[in-house]
Amino acid sequence: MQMTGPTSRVLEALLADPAGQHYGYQLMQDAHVQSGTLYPMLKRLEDEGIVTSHWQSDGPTLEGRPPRRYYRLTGEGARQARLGLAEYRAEKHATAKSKPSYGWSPAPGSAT
Amino acid sequence: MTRRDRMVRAVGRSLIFLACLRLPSSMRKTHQSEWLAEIDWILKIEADRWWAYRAAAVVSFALDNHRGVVGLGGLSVWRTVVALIVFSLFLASPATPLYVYATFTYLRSGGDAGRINNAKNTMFYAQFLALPLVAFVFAGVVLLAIPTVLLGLAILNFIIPFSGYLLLRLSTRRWGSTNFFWAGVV
Repeated sequence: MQMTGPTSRVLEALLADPAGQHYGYQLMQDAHVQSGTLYPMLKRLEDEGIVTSHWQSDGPTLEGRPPRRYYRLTGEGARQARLGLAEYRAEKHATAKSKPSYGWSPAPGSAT
Repeated sequence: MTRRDRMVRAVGRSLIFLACLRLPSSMRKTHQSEWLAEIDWILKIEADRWWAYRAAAVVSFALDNHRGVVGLGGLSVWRTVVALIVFSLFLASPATPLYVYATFTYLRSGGDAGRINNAKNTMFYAQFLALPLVAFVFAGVVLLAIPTVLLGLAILNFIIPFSGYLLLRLSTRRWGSTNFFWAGVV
C-alpha cells in the first residue's frame, strides 16, 4: 500500500468507524482532502481490496435523491490499514527525530 | 430546493458531465452517477449553511474532479485542450458544411439523378477544401508530437467527402467524365 499524507488521513477516517458506511463528501470533510484526490485514491484502495463499495439501496432515506455510493473497509483492508498507518507514523516519527536542529544548543559536556 | 440551489446544481452537473467526458468509457457511467448524486447530497447536507457556502462546496467538488480525472486514467487537461482545438478546426473546416450539405442532399434526393449529381459534385469539391486543413494539422502533429488519433481525426475530414464522392459515383454508375475522379484519386 502506497502511504501518503492524504491516504493516511482517509484511512484514519475509515478506521474511525471500520464497519460503517462512508460516502465521498463525508470522507472529504473528515480527512480534509479534495474530491480530485479522494476518488482516485478510493479507486486505488478498492483495486487493492482494502475498501469495497456499494450503492445505496432504494428507500425512504433517499427522499427523491439519487442513490449514493458508499465505501467500507474490508476485514483484511482494516488490518492492512492499521499496519500501514503504524509503519507510516513510525517512519514519520523517525524522520522528525533525525532532523538536525538549527537552534542554539550547549556544547556536549560544557557546564552552563 | 430553492431557485439558487437549482442554479448551483445545474452548474455542478455541467462541470461533472464535462469531467466525465474525459474518463475512460468503462468507468464513465459509475463516476458520473456517483458525483451527480454527491452534488444533490451536498446541497441537502449543507442546507443550513449560507447559500454561497453551498455554491462553493458544489463548484469546488465538481471542479476538483477535473483534476482527479487524470488520476482515474482520464485524458489530461493539456490533451483535452489540444483535442478541442483540433476538433474545432475539424468542425470549422470549409469542407464540413459541404459534406454535411452533400449528405443531406443525397439522403433527400429520392433517387432524383440531378440531386444525386449535385451531392456527388459537392463531395468532390469538399475533399479539396479539406486538404489544407489536413496539411496544417499534420504539420502540427509532426512538430508537437500529438498522438496520432488527432491526425486520424483530421484525415477523416478528407476521407469522408472522398469516400462519399466515390460511393455516390459507384452507386449511380454514371461515370461520365472521369477527369475529376482521377484528379481526386491523385
